[in-house]
Amino acid sequence: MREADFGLIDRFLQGDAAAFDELVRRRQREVYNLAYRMTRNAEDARDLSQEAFIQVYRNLDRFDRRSSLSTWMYRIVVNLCLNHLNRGARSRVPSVDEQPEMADPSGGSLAQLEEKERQDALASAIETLPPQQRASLTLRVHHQLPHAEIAEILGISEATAKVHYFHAVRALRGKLAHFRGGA
Amino acid sequence: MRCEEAGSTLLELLEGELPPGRRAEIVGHLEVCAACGNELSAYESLLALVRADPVPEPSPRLWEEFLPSLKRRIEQAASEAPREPASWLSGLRSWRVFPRPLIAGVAVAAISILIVIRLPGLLSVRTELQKTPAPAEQLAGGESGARGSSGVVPTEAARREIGDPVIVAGEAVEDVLMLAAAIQRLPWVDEITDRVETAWVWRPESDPRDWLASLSEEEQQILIDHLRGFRWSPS
Repeated sequence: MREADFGLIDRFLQGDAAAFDELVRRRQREVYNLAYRMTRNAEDARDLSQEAFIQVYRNLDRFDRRSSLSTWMYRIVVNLCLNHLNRGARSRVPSVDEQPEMADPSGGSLAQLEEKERQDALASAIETLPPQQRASLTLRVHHQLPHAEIAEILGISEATAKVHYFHAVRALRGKLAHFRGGA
Repeated sequence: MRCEEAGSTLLELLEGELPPGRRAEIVGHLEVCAACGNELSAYESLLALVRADPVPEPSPRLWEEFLPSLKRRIEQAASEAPREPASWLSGLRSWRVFPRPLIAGVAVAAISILIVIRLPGLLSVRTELQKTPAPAEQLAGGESGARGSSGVVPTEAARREIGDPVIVAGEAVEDVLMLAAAIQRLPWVDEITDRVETAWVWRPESDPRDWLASLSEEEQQILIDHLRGFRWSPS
């Protein structure tokens, strides 16, 4: 992946505009997903992921390749999302056609209902996390990044990145403690 | 081992962050303590739930429109004439050449500029000696921009005139040269540093003062509240 990314960058820097298109197509979903997990809002995720690609387009010649393209792009996305959240953006409930496909609760078992309730509670709890904790949690759990790389993305020390992550998990644990099994 | 002690390290255990000896202690405790075992299981269940947290699938139209819409935005942005960089930013356009301490220095300088911009009339500066303190511009190093890792370098004249220790958030600063370091130890500086860095990475043509002017009222208030801690103390 890394070499393929660098190949696309080389082609783009040599004037091949189609290489950027391909890079967008390859990365748009992960960029969107990260933006969504940060903002919990589909419209904001779309706008911020587009803004992130605009920044990538403008700054690709400055990408020094000391990190992977993913790390560099995540840094852009997360910074944009943090700025967005710090401006006081509010998450909103996704519209009907954006709802994740899940089992119909009315026809589901008690276990399915409990699972749905638990996921809703989790979504609400995540929205209450401070932005940097939310970023640390997302990058660690969903992107499986090591704390050192998360620290690089957030521009903080590795120790601070760990603290953000641990605080986030403990906060969620506290908010979801009333569910059977603790979560 | 007490449960409280074991409980505080369960996440580190799951993250594989514990040294072998410590890990063996915790695992040994978990083998005999059902309560801590349940707590560990609860964390594992929680993390599994987080991993399963879905991103709602957007409509197919979003993906069809994504690239064309992005291209339109790029073309539109390109058609807007880029602003000339501020002269003191010339040559500083590549963020990657800057070590983080320098960026932190810039943040301190930017905060110092904020002192100059925002605080006259707002900052409570108490003089307990019958002595005129140095003007804020001298304290803050004026519009020093990027002058190195300390960010704020007062003039010799300012140092001679000041003399008395300055209290920054309860910390006595004997030497005004240490002012920047004291500011950097304020707990909120990291966030400001991040914001400045973000501004510089993505708007390198812009002047940090524009960014400072764009702070929200809440952010301004946070800064002002902290900067109210600046005061002259008796020597």
